[in-house]
Parts: sequence; structure tokens; C-alpha cells
Amino acid sequence: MIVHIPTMRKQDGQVTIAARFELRSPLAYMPKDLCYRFPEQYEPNLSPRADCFAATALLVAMYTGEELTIRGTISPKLAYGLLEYRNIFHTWLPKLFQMVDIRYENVENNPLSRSAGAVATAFSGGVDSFFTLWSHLTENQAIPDARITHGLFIHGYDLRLDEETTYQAIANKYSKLFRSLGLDLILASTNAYQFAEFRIDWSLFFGPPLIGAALLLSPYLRRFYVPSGLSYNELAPQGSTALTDHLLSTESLEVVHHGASTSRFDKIAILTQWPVTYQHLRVCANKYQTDGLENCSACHKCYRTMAALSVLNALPMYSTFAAKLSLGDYFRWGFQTHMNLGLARDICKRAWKGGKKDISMGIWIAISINLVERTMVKIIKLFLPRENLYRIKRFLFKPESNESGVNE
Amino acid sequence: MIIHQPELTTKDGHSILWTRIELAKKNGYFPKFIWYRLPTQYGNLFTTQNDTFLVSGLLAGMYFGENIEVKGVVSPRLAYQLEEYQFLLSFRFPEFLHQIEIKYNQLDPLDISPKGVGSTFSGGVDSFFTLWKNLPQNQPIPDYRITHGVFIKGFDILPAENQHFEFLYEKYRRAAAHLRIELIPLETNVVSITHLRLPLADFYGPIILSAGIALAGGFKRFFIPSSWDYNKLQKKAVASDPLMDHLLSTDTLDIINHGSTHRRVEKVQEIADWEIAQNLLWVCETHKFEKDTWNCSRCEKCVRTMLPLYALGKLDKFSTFEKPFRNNQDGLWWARKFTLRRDFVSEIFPFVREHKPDFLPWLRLAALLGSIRYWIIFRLLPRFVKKWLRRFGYFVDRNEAPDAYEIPEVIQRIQTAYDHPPT
Repeated sequence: MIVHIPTMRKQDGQVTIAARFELRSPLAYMPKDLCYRFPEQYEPNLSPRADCFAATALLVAMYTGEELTIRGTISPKLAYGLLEYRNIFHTWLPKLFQMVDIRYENVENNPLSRSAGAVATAFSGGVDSFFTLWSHLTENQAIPDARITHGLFIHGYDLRLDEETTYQAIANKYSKLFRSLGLDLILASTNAYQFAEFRIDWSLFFGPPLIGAALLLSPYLRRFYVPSGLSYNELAPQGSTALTDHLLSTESLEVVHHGASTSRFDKIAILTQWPVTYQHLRVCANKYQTDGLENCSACHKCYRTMAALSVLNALPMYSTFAAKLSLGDYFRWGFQTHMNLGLARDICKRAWKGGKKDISMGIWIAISINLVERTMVKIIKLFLPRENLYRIKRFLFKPESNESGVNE
Repeated sequence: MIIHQPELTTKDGHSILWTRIELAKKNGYFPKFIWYRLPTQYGNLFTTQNDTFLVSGLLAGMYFGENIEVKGVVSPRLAYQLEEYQFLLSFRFPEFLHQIEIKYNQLDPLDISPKGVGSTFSGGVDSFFTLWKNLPQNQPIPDYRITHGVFIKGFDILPAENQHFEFLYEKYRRAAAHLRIELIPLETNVVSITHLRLPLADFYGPIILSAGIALAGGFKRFFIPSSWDYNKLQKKAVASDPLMDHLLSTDTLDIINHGSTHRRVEKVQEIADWEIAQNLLWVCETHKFEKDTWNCSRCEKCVRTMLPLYALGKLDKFSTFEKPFRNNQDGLWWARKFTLRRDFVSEIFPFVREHKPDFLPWLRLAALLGSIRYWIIFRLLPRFVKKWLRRFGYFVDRNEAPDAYEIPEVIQRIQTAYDHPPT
């Protein structure tokens, strides 16, 4: 697989930077170019280097088993980090991510110094994002160098690219929120999801494209926080972990995985003390039913957050969720394949300890249902080859990538 | 606890970087001064930024539960990451270490742009593997090729074993020069901080890394060879792994834990054809230096290194083993020091099955006999018998004295400098 030299073009007040991924054996529906789009005002701050495309390309190359060639300029630190990154992903999941050779055509240091520049955090409006933001506000972060100055909100992650209206509504509200905190929110969009769609679990893939967006802004940023979704005692193969994220740093941009030392429940407990989150917390994983900052209150992420808020007696304060969880909700939660068992068990335990036995029992029912469902799905997957499974998923769910492999 | 501003003293051909760590409560032997010593020609590698002593003193603060006040200047990047580092240490070793507060006097990055790439080097399998992988012929990225090795006295080798240190250093220095790498002899008493308090096998990470950070004047990257691979690290908790070590990086120095992608047997395989490793590998735990064969071939570490080499048919090329295996039956020596504690058994069997299956029955027998021996000695033998056996040299460690890592001559020199500070 060859990653060609990135190109930049301006259109309608937006600047798009893209690199062609040329596969020896192209895969159906996979886009030909990985694209990022930023408001035109950031054009002078965008890097023309290949750094931002390399890590995403690596996972695609490992999935296809093709040797990776990077044509553009890449930082020596990232070039080294990618070798280790590759080794870790292969050690974790050798069947999904094959060991491939990486060839760099131009390894060159980024002449920018790290001493100047902004400090940004990835921001989606969820628990982890808000916690990282809160931890690095001036009043909570003693080290001035570590304080956040910017947020980076990316369209194409938890919001589909064709949901432009919803995205704009959310982006406007979060931009306003950041301004009220004295910070800036950078808006960007990417089609990275389409490279993984139905092929690689998004939870294994989302890290490199996210960090890639920050690497594009490396002339402007010196540090980028990636809010952690997992705490240290539940570390598992994921697209973003404390073990792997820092490997995507360059000489001019330091990538910091933040928040793994605090459990999700404890993060939520801290956020309940920060009124800003009452009208802004958005955790929803349902791409089809989002409406502004409203959470669907019916997906696995909404359920787990609502359960934790209920244990903390804080759910009524959050206007973006339904008022309470019913017994039916626990049943539905159990049937959702993406339920995080570790988190559910943690909330279940805390509910029991806090005397909320009804919530604890409800979660226990959800966990039991989910364990049965997981086993059945695993058995079915055993009999299906990878490409057949992909086609079934495309048939069952609404795909975002199109037949031509070209994304507009 | 107060970590004072580091001082640099140069005298009689040596540069000494030292400081005082002041504990609020004295508890057993604790060194008055912590120091690192180098030949003067390398003295410019030292910096008086207090990152070095903060990293080495952190374990003491966390062990005694004392908050730390750091005098002098500390790297902001290190200061930020130490919170995460502390969390990981206390999370993994809650029985030993507790999170504490650190008060900084000044946070500023070093105003230098060092060029060197260093690595600790002890002469063992992990060190040779890291060096091999980062030589120009194997490391495609020039910025990551090792330019310096750091050979430490006061870690594997005690100050009292100076003769052994000099013997090995001279051999390694010559080999390193052949590779165009400079090998720096560094002496330190930093282990004294944790000695007899924390097991060195688990807590060597920050101790070794503090030595690398002490040389931040010359290094932009510093490798620490990994002892464990990613599979084992899922089950083990140590104070040095790829998750933790990079958190000790500063604004000018990147710390890299290298080699976790390879199991120990795979590392042995990688270096098996390298002539320098064949002539100079040193893995022995007994520290008996006989002529040119300085691996006793009977301790657990020697045997666990010889097994994959024998399975590969390369053991006879390694000249530093005193009694190499000549036939399959010799594999029974494994039983003599067999232990399940270090978990290398799980990788040795599949490796031997792949490369020399006829050796396997002997290894199975050795493992069976070794397990029985291990069970009798470590589970059944009463403590008083072990105590009695000490008079015959059993159950005795080389470093039992509280000041085993001190060099009186260095302490005296620092004391003089401390009593008579330069005006």
C-alpha cells in the first residue's frame, strides 16, 4: 500500500487536505483518499507533511497485509514510534493486524520547536472529554505548560458526515461553551471512519485518525491530549491507550493520553460537581437518532452514563438525558453488543455499595443477557469469512462509505 | 522530604553529580548523599537540573509517605507526567508505595539541544538485543541509532566488585569502539535509596533511568532494554515497562523502553549469530569470573540463556559459558536452579519444540525434578535450617550490607565539597 504525498485544496471557506491510499488489491467500498477538512482560517497552520496520514494508513495496511510505503515527509520520532505501534497491534491481534514492512521515502525532522504553540484536547462532549478538559483548566492544573488552550471537535466520528445539520447545532453550542471558558474550539471533519466501516471495530481504529487531525495542526499545537476511555485496571487492545498514543508523537507535537488513572464512575462523580456539564454532556453512540445535544437515552453509552448518574443521584440535573431508567432499559442494554462489561460491573458494584439495590439488580440482568448474546455472536462469527461478514454488515446496517470509494 | 539543588564536583579525574535528600523522619540506613560519578572527559554530560534526583528520590518519598519539596529546576514535562507515574506505581505496588504531593520551586526546560542516543548496557541478553536492533545496519531511522552505552557500577555489579567491573568494562569498551559507540562507565550509589526496602528486581526502572536522566546534557533519547515482553506484561507488575518508562521523559530527553515486542528466547535467537555477543555475553548471577568464561553455566539465568542457544545449535559459538551443554542429558542441569517464579518456562518449551524436539523429554524431566526441588527448598525447609545453611554460603546475597552500594572515597570527597562550598 502506498500513501501518496498529501494535497491541499480550498473550497467554500474550507480547506481540505487529503492523501491517496493506493492498495495493491483494492477493497470494495474503501475510500481512495483519507481527507481532513478545516475552516479556511487554519490554512496557515496546517502541515503539508505525511505525519497525519501515516498511522491511519498503517492500520489499514496491517489489515490488508500489504507493505506500507509512505511517500511524503515523516518525522523521525513518529517513524520510530510507528514501528513499535505496529508491533503492539500485531502482538494484540495478530489475525486482524498482520505484521507488515514499513518503508519511508523521506524521514525528516520537523523544524518547529515545541516551546511555543497551543495545547489542545480532543473533545466530543462525552465524559472523558469533559473530564480531561476540567482537569486542565487553569483552576485545576498547577503546571502552566499543561493547561488547555484549545479543543478539537471532529465531524465524522460519532456523528455521520451526512448529518450536517445536527453537527452544526452541536458545534455551535460547544464553540459557545469553549468561548465562555476562555478557550477556542477547532472544528474539523474526516472520512476516516469509512476505512474501518464494518471491517475493523471502530474502537480499535479511532485513535490514529484522531491524533492525525492534531498532527495536521502541528505547526500550531505543541501538545495534544487524548481523553482516555479505559482506566489502567481495564486496559485492553484499543485504538487509543496509554501504551500506544504517545508513540504517535513527533518532535514538535507531544501526544498525551490522559485520564486512565481515574475510573469512568469517578470521572462522572467529578463532573456532577461541574454545572457546565448539566446542559452539555453528550455521550450518545446512536448515529441515527441524535438531535443536537440530546442523547438518545437508549444506547449502551447512554445507559451506562445514566446508570452512573442515577447512583450519584444526579440524573435529574442532566437535561440532555431521559429522566430515569426503566426495567425495560436494562433489558435493552443487555442486548447491545457493545456493552462494556467492565464498566457495567463497576457501576453495579458501586450501586450495591451505595444502597441502590434496584439499579444494581437491573445492571446485573443486563450483564447476564449480554454474556449469553456475546457467546452466540462469537459462535456465528466462527463460521463466516471476513469479507462475507463485511457484506452482511453492509446489508444489515446503513453504510456510510459508497460504492465508488470516493467520498465527497 | 527535601531534595536539594544538585552540585557538580570535579576532582582527580572524576566528575561527581550529587545532592542531599533530607528525610523528615530517619528510618534505617539512608545515604546522606546521592551521587553519580563519571570520568572527567564525560563530565559535560551531567546537568544540574534536578530531574535526576527527583526521579531517584521519588521512590523514597512514596515509600516513606513523605511529600517532596524539590529545590532547583525541574522539567515541566516530567513534573506533569510524574502524577501519572506515581499513580501507576501506587496502583501496582499498594503495599509499598503511596501517592504523595510534590512541590516544585521552578519549572523550566533545559535550554540545550543534545544530539546523543544512549542506552544502558549490562552485557546481558536484553542489552545486546537493544544494541543490535539500534545499530546502523538494523535501525533505518538515523535519529534512533545508539551513539553511547552506559555501563553502570552500583547496580548489577557492586562497588566492591571493582575488579570485575574493570575487567568487563575494558572488554565492552573495545567492542563498542569497534561499533563506533562510546561506552561510558558510570558509578552511583542510587540503589542505596531502595536497598533492603524494595526488591531491586521490581523497582530497577526509575533507578536505572535516573542515571540516563543524569546524562541529559548529552542525550536526546535514552533506551532502557525491556526485561519482559508484552504477553508477560499483561500478567506482571514491575516498575519498568513501555507503559511507565516514557513518563520519565523530560522536555529534552525521550525515554524509550525497548524490546517488549520480543520474548527472551526470540532475543537470544536474534543475537545468536552476532560475533560480539558470542564473545561477550554476560548473564551470570554468581559473578565468578574465571579467565574468559564468566558465565557459570549453572545458575538459573545462565541455563535459561543456554537452553535456546543449544536448541538453535549455536551454544558452542558462545565462548563465555564455562560448561556449555554437550548433549541433551545436560539439560537436566536446569533442575538445579529451576524456578517458576520468573515465568520463562512458558516460552522455552514451545521454542525448543520448534527447534530441537528431541531435547524436549529431557527438559520435561528437568522441570519435574526442578519443581520438586523448588517446592522442598522454598516451601518445606524451615527458616532456622535456612539460617543455619547460611554459614555454608547458601541463602546469602552479595549485597546484604546496608551500605553495599557506597564507595567511602566518593562520600568523603562529597563531604569535603559540602563542608567547603566554592565561594
